[in-house]
Amino acid sequence: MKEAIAVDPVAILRTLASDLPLDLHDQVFVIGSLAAAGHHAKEVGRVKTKDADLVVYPSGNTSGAQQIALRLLGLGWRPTRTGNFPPGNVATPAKDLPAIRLYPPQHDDYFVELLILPEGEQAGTKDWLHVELDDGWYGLPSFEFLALTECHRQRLVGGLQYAHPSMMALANLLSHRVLGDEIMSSPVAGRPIRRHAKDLGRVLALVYLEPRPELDLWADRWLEALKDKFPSRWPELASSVGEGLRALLVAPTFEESVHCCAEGLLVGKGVSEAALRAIAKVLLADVIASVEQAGHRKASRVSVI
Amino acid sequence: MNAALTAALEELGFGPSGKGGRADFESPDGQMITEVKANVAGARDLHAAIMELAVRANSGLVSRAILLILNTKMSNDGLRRVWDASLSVLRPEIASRMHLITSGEGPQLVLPSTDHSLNEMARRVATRWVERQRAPRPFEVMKILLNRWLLGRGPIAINELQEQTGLSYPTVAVRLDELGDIVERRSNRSVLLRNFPQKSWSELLITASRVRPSMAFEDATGRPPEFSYLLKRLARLRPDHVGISGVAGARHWQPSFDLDGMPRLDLVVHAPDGAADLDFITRLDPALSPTDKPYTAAIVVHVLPRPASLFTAESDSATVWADPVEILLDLHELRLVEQADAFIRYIRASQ
Repeated sequence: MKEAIAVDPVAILRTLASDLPLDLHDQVFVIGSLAAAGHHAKEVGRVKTKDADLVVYPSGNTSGAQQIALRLLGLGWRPTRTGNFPPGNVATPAKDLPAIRLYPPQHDDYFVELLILPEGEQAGTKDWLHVELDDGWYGLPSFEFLALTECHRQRLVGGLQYAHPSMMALANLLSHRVLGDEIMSSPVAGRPIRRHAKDLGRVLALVYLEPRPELDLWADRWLEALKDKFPSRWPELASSVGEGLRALLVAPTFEESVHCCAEGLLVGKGVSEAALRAIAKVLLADVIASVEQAGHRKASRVSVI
Repeated sequence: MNAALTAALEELGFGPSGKGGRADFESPDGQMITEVKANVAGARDLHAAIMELAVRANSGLVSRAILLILNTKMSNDGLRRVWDASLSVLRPEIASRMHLITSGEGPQLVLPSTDHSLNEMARRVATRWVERQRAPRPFEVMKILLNRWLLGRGPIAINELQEQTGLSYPTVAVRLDELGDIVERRSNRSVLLRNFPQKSWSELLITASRVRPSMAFEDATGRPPEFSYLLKRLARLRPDHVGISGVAGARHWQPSFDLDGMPRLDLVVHAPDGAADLDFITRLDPALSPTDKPYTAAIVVHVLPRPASLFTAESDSATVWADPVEILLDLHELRLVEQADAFIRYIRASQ
C-alpha cells in the first residue's frame, strides 16, 4: 500500500465544505483524525489522512444517507471500493457489503466515507445498514457509541460541522472497555496494529492536544452526553469508562498505541511512552474518576431502590 | 526506623521484614524488597549498599529490589555514576531488578527515572518524611527578623521569636549574638534589625541548597506547564499549608515585578513537625513527577520546617502567599539577582 502523504487538515476541511452542497452541511458532520486535526490545527500541523468520515444524522437516517450518496454521485462524485467487495444485493450479508466511499468530482485530495448514527441505546455491535444505490447495495457502518459524537458538535469557519474531540475520546473509551484482539485491516506505518491500541492511543493523543482548562470541561460534557444518548445505560457506562485504558496501561499493546500516536496526530512531537503514560494519569484522575464516581453513585442508588 | 518512613512504605504494600528478613522491607509475596540506608557518605558506601542489595536480589522470588538512600551528601551526578558503574558488573537479570530512590535535602533521584510506580513511591516517601536538620536551623532567627524588617513590623519579643522559630532561648540567644551589631536590642526584651543583614544573608544563600529542603517536579507529559492554570487549580484545592513563592509570589507583593513570563512555580510547604505533606501535588496535576533538575522543573516545593509559616492570605481569596524572605530565596536560586534587589527596595518603600 502506498504511504499516505501529509495534508493540511484545515485546507482539506475547507475544500470539503466547498465541495459539498451547502444544504448538506446541516445533515452531516466529520469525525475521526481529520476532525481532531482540524480542531487542533495549530498544534497538529499536517496529517497523513485522506479519509473524511462523514456521519449522517439524526440517528437511523438511512434514507437520508441514501439520498446524500445518490445526490453526490449525481454531481459527479466518484465511488471507490473498500477492499475487494463489489456492490451487493438486498440479500448480501452486511459484512460482505462495501462501504460508500466517494472521491470529489475534480480531485483526489480526500474521499468521504458515509456512516450513520445508531438508533436506540442497545448494547452490542451494530450491523451495517443496507442502502441501495444505482449500481447495487452498499453498507452504512454504525457503531454502538457513535451517537455520542453528535453531542457538542463544533462548526468550522465555512460551515462544516465536526465532532468535538472529547466526544470522540468518550466513544473510543467505551468501545474498548475490554481489550479485543481485532487487528486493523490496514497497518500503521507498516506495522499491524490492534484496533483497541489505535483507538485508545487516539484518546491519549486527543488529551495531549487539549489545553488543560478545556480538559476540565470533559467530565461534565461526557455525563451530559451519556445521559442524553443512553438514558437507561448511562450509570453502567459511566462507571466503567476507564476500564479499557487501565488495562491498556499494563498490556504489551500499549507500545502499539505509542506507535499510532507517533505516526498520527502527534507526529513529529517526539512524545515518549512515559509522556503518554503521564497523559493517561491526567485523564484518569481529572476526568474519568469523577465520571466513574457519578456512575457508581447512580447505580448504587438504583440498586437500593 | 523513622515512623513516617515506615508508614509511607506500608501504604505501598511493604511491611518491615523483621529479624532475619532479606531486607528492611518486603512485599507480602516477597517479590519486592526495599533496603533503607541513611547518611551514605560517598561512593564506597554506596557501592557496598548496592552490592549488598544485589546479593539479596539474587533470589528467584525477587523481581524488584529498591535501595532507598536517605540524607546523602553525594550529588545526583555522583550517585548516578556509582549506580551505573555498579550495575554494569552485575548479571543483566540481577541489574534489571535493581532500583534507586534518594530522599533528603537535595532534589530526589529515581532510577530508572521512567518507572512510574517507582516515581510514585519516591513521591510518597518524600511526602511523609523529611529529615529534621541536624543543625538547629541556623538561619531561622535571621529570616524571621528580616521578614519584620522588610515589612516594617517593628521589634519582636524574644519569647515570640522562640515560638516562631521553634528554637530554645539559648539557641535564639546564640543566633542573635552571631548577627552582631545589626540587631538592636530593646529594654523590653525585644529585638529588631537595624539594616539588611548582608553577611548572614550571603551565608544563607551559599548554603541554601543544604538548609532548605526542596523537591522539584516536572510535567511528565513533556508539555510546557500552564502556570496560570496551575495557580487556579491550587486556589481550588485550598491547601492552607502551601504558600506561593518565587516569581508568582514576587508579582503578588510587587505588581511591577520586572520579568516576562515565569521560569517555574515555586511553592513553600509549611511543615512545622518536619514532615512535608505533598499529597496535594498529585491533585494539583497528576502529570507531575519528581525530577533531579530544579532549573528546568515545572514546580519546586521548598519545605519550611518551623512553627511559624508567616504566610499571608487575603480574606476574599483562597490563595496563600509565602513571606517575602522565602520569595527572595527563590529569586536568588533562579539567579534573578537584580529583580531580588529591586524586590527588597520595593517592599521596604511600600511600608
